[in-house]
Amino acid sequence: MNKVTNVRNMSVIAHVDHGKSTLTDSLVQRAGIISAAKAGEARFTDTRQDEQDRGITIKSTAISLFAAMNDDDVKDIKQKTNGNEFLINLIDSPGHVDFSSEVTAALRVTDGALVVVDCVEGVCVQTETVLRQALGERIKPVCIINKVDRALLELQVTKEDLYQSFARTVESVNVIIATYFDKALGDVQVYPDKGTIAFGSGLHGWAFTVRQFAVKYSKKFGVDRNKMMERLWGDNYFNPATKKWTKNGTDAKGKPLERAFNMFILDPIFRIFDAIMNYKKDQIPTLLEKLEISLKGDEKELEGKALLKVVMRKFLPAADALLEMMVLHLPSPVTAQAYRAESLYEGPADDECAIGIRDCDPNGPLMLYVSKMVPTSDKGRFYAFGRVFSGTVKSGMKVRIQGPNYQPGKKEDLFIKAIQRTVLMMGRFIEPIDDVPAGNIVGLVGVDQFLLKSGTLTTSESAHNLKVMKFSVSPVVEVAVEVKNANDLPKLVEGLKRLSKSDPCVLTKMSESGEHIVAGTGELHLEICLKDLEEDHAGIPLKISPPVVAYRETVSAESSMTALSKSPNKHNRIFVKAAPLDEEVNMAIETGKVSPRDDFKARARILADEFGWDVTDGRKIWCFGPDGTGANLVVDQTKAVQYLNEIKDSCVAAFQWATKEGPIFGENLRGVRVNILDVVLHADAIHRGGGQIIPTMRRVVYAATLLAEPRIQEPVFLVEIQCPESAIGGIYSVLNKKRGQVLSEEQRPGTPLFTVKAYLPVNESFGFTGELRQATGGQAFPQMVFDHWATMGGSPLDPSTKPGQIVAEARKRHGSKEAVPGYEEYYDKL
Amino acid sequence: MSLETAAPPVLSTQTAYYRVSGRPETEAPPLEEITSQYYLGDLAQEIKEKEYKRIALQFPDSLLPHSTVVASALIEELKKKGLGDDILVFVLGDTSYSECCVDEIAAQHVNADVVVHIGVACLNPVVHSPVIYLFGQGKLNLDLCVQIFKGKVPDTSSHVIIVAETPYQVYVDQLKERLAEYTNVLTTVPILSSLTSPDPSAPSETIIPGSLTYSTSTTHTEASPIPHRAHPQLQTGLQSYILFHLGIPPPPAQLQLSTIFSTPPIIFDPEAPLQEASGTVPLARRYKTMLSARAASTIGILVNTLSLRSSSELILSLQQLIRDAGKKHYVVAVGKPNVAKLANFDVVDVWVVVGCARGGMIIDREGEYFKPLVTPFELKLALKRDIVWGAGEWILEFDKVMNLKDDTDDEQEDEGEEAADDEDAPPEFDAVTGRYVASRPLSTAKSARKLHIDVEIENSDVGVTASGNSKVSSQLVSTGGNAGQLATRGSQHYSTAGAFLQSKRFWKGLGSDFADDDESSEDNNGTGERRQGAKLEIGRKGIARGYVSGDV
Repeated sequence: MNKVTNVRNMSVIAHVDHGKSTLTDSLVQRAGIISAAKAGEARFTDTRQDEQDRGITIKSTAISLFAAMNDDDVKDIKQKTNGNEFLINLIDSPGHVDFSSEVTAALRVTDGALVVVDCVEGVCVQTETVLRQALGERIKPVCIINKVDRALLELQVTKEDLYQSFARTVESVNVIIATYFDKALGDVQVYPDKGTIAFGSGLHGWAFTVRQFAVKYSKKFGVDRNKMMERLWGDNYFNPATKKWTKNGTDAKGKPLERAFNMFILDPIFRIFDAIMNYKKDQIPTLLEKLEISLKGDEKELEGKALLKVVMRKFLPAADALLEMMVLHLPSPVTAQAYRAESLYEGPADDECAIGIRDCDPNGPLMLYVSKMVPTSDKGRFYAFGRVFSGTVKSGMKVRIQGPNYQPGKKEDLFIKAIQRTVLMMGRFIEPIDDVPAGNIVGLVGVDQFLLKSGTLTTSESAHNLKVMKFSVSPVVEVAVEVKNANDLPKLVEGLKRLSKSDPCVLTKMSESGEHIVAGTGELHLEICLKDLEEDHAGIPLKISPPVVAYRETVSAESSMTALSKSPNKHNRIFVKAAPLDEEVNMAIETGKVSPRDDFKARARILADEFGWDVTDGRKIWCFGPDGTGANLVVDQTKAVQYLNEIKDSCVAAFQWATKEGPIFGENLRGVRVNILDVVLHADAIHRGGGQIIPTMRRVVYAATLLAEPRIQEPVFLVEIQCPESAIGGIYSVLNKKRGQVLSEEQRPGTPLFTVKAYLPVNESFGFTGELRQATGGQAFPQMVFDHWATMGGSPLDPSTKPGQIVAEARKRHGSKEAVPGYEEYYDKL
Repeated sequence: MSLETAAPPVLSTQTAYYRVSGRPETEAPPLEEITSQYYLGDLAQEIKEKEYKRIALQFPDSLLPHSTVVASALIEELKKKGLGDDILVFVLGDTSYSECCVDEIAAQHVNADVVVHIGVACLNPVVHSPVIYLFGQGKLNLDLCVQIFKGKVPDTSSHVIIVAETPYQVYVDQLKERLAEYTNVLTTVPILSSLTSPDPSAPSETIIPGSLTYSTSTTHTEASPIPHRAHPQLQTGLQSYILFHLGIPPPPAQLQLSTIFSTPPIIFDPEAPLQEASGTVPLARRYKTMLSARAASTIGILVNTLSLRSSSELILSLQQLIRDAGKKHYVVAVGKPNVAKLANFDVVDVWVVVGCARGGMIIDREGEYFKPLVTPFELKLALKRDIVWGAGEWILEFDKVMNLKDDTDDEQEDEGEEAADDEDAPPEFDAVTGRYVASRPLSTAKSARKLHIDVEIENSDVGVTASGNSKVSSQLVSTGGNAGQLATRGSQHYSTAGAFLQSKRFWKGLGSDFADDDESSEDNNGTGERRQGAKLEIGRKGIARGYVSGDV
């Protein structure tokens, strides 16, 4: 642990059901934590009962493993190392899209990622999403093509077909990697001949890399193993007659040659499968002898799949291949933090904290990022799970706990507290430890009360925050929860608190009408959250409303005239116009590319260069909203107004208020740019105080919004459905009924499977899975992930349109007047 | 833009001043009618008996047009009783806080012996003045009322209880007679608090006509959960009664009534009898407001009455409670509150309104107010450690609120022991926003105890004026240079207002805009000339109504 160069922090990421947890098992088994027999079935890292029952991972789970490599291998490591013992901190993450926030939290604390791809299904939507996230965090991927046993046993492919299928999958992974190329990270495409791709079967516990075979054969052929590696992949052929290597697929006589990969790697595997699965008992012992596999007494009795498992595990243990790949090719914290520092730290690149992170310095100031909370056995308490990026964290150490809203020099979201204990997280167990130096993953006891979900821990008073994680998903599906018995209210609120701690993405809040709202990313996510809430966090029976969707209010044109409001004392006037922001700008704000924390000049430059803004406008952004961060802007376009700076605070406060509760039905505004054109202020400070300006600014924002052809936006899912051709008709009919919009329909090469991609409004997605199953006879299973906000056609002010109905319904639910007030309500005549 | 701003701003208030309520009648009725409608004979008799010399007549805005006629008629009546010229009658209008309360302050201005409160009364006791409540007689179409009653309550065996706004009290008995076929109808009568909880130091209270009150009634023996009303023995629990209300109660009272009965009250509005009265604010919304008070770190105590008995005790107890919870409070009186006045105090996170239960509470229906407003009862619940809500009660009366059982004290103790000296207390979960908020600025472990004492000294003499603001601001100046660090913490006082100004405000006072300019143009190697502020000149002077420019 103190030899940081020998630490590897990595997460296992993949599409749902591609076998992450199962593969992780084989590593856990190597460490002796579970028995070999159970590996592949125990899913050690699925610690929750419902994870075991449903067979999906819900929470990411960390585990630390020791690995000893032999000296030969260590020589091949291209970064600094120290000895041949390695510590691997591994995080198994969920694959279902609804839980991809867990993946984000896992990626933040790791430097490398093991991307698992199903050999049959290939690269799926979630594979792409998590890979994109990983590259965005500057995380280096290695890849394993899993479930090769399925290809062999179920599909009965030939060697060449299998090779082609491998090659295609590798190609499509590399396409994604190339798309999100990042200069600082360099080229991280994966190549079998470089040893960054493994092939195997998590269920059976075997896997191999080309390098492993290269090592074996290099001794036999007496060739340098790196040369051997290159020869064992791609268009390289070995002519057994001439004992020569060639790039041609045919020998001199035009007879086809067998590809080296097929000949040297796939052939033994195929032979084992053939012998065991076809019960050719006589061949088995000779084969085993040739491969130097010895079976123990009772193992000899096995046959069929059980024997296959034992043999393959002895022949090509998955742990060996995986460990080799991780240790050799994933960066150590020292290597990784050198290029990750600038993307991790909000502050200047030359302060002591930034330097500490860059050098992964155990003696630097402590910089620790808590990425998630892990429940302890003690109900209601959590381990703060995170990564030490700089310095050393010790039990009893006094630290500054900086929440996500902390700003240097201010006191908001800042607490000082001693860490009670530091622990190592080992799946369902923990191990106490005295101190943890930079580069390691750690669990902390005693800081959970100060952080809701994530935050920065530091010892330096001048430290800025480590960058807040941006999730690729958004909690757009909401339900209202109510207690059945009023006396249980405290338990509900406490439960909501625990729920929001235990999940990185769930949101709890209160609706205008006074209901407790739980918002999640999708139906499954909500279902799990509510079950947790009811059974675990709150432990009380709940009434749960049907799901509803979060909307946004926006504008679709510039205000038809200048909106004017006068202050209550009539002495101050504000003239504004509202205009829509480009969707690209909205996205840039929401992904943090344009943020209120940027230097205003740099921000203006980005806005001008990339989004065609006027530079002066870009520099005169007063604020973002709501919550100071949302995708609505106030731009000061006034000329020479006296006292203007004095009312800025009031305008900003009012804008937060107005954008939080829009004029149409109290939802957040989104994509509205409010230009302040002119302001008339009273000469006397007391008559232009907050009391006069705040209500006025709010009114004028409402008036301007209502004058600018207001619209509402609804969230839209991207749906990916894999199905056989026969089911496509059913999919289309369901999508049509649900206002879905098909984007593409592609056949996966080499399989009878089709992939349909479509946009589906979240509002229509409730029950979509069920209907789809019904329409396709259970052959289609959709993956839905929040994609974007779509402006709905039709004015929400007109009750005959669809948005109008949504608005009227929501207003009724909130107990406000059913008709949206006209702009006249907020507009004052000159 | 030039077009719209061409004209100079109009600096005087032109548009009409909007009154909160009231539909003034233009013509006063004839004298005889006035005499009977206002029971002036009974009133004169009462004045004669108690030997009052200086009499203040307090009118609500809607009845002000009657004031002169009533005053002169009263003088006539007094003369008939043989009372002479030494009696002075004053007319009070434009009450300081709420119309339904006795305006003691105005009465003290004229040094009155007694206040005659006319019109809708809340019957909440006041501190000093003897009071005569004159309910008057509102206009009510009894036939229509009976008709609507029968429409809304078709079952003649239903349990119904009739409550009236004070001017309509006279119709209650008549209404009951007309509803003879209803066997389970009860009526209520007003009851004065001097009768329910006798207090020798309290000033005398009288209701005219006396026939309407508890004191003369033989049947109405029980003080009701309905505030200031008494009713006869109940046949079943009050919960299961249907409330028939004459006149529209103000929103807080309506909300309170809706918590007493299980069915929503039937409200008969004598002025627009056929209109469906609007419903109350759902209690769930108050729950949300209550929760936002839990997360507040600075609480503004908005004083909306000066004369109600035990209001200052309530304010003191609220202060104590807030302090014990580690939160900061400011006491503010702004006259009649409105959105603009309250929005001036941007440090305040939530307001607690101390005012008359009928007219002095503010229930923010439309979300107009910048910061939420809670009632003292809600604040008391909010400051408990566990969330309590939904037991069905929603109390407005001061004395009941003050007597609420307090279970926070002992629990606070053990919390304090955990934290070491220089560690921060953990933040709290705000259920409204779903975030963690540090809502206890005063409770920094041990120093908090010391702080309590200091703050107590500071506030011990606080009646109802804006508390300690001047002290706080002077301290702000001395620590302001410390760039928003923990400067104010751990010293004698902690001012959230000071901290707010230091850390949250962009505007730092005159000259700060120049500093801003400097920063942005530093790269062009400023010569230092820029750093000079603007030259000071004599500007306009005077008051807002009319400024004087230059050397005039």
